Amino acid sequence: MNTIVISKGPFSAELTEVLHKNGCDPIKTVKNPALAAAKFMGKQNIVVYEWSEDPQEETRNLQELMKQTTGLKVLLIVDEGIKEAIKVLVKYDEVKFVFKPLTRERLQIGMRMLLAEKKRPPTINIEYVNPFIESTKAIMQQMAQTDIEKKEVRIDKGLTVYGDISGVMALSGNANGFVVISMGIDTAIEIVKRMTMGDVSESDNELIEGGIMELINVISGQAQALFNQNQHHFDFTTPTMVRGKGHTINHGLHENSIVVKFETPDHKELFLQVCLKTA
Amino acid sequence: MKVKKILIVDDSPTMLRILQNTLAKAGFPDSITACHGKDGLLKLAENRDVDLILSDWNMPEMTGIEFLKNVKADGDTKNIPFIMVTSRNVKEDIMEAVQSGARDYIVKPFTVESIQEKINNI
Ligand SMILES: [Mg+2]
Repeated sequence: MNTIVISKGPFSAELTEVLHKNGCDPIKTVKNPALAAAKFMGKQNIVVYEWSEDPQEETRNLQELMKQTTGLKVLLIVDEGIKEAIKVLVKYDEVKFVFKPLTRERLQIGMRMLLAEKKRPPTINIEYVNPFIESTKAIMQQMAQTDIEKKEVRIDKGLTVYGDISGVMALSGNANGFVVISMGIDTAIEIVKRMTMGDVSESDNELIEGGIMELINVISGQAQALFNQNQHHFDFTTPTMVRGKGHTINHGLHENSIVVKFETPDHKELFLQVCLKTA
Repeated sequence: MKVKKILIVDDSPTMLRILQNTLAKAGFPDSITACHGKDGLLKLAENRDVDLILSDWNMPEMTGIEFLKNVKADGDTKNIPFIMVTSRNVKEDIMEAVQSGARDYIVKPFTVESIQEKINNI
């Protein structure tokens, strides 16, 4: 993919390597955005654009660039200029941004966002479950320092919760329905202890429930980001709490739910339940 | 800028505790809390020495974005750096927050290190 790097300063070999790994070749580096516009001949191209201190001018440059070339994918490297960049970002879907200072990791993330292919939304429920599985594992690691292992995946009729305590998130968008994280009270206390880095007793109801709601909240957020990479979108607001085993969540979707059983290193069970109707 | 006193605003007591402990580990032990935007405004009026605000987005009474707009509209508080903390990693949300005057945006989950980096960049 023909790539142009617009940068006032030098672009390091390390960063150039990230571009190469993402299929950018040949790479030309220019200091002047107007020159970049002249070099594109309407081909499918990539621009990595490091903004200078004058966001107003850069906004005009970017708009000029977008006008001259169709099918251009642009990765902006901005900081305070983001406030100006927004005016352009809202107009073009193919413009993504990462913040300064540009590191290897940020460039890699930016390129991944930029090159994410537009796929049709899958019609099978299971395809919507994987991002939640990934995100549950990652969030349990990051927020509760607990490595959980996927033990079992099964399909339930309807949506009935398994544990003493369940955090429920409602979703809408490409998929409509619920995602639930459910567990026994002992497991919940242990997890919330780790999350809050403090002591938690069984009577700290507000703290325990808040912790489990926060867990499903952040799991949903991470899954949402994974979906966005594949051009799927869903929205969610705030989670709710269900106490007690065996409650059926009446959702009117008449869909089956997918149940994923995880286990903590000390063999405590954790259930992820995904019940979605895809648009 | 030297940050000492931090106001944390979140409707979840669990989140407040997580943030307070994380901030303490990151070298910022001096924090006060509020449970929603309106409470945040009250705390700001009572505490004139707040150096930084960390606020949740989804809250009852007054949401994080409304709180942000109020903080920026008041001459006494408009210069206090404001960081939005949320679980929604959505371009439109980040844009709305930045447009309304947020200095930065933290997407949960965060770590001691990531919080430290954000605050040091203020
Ligand atoms: Mg909240």
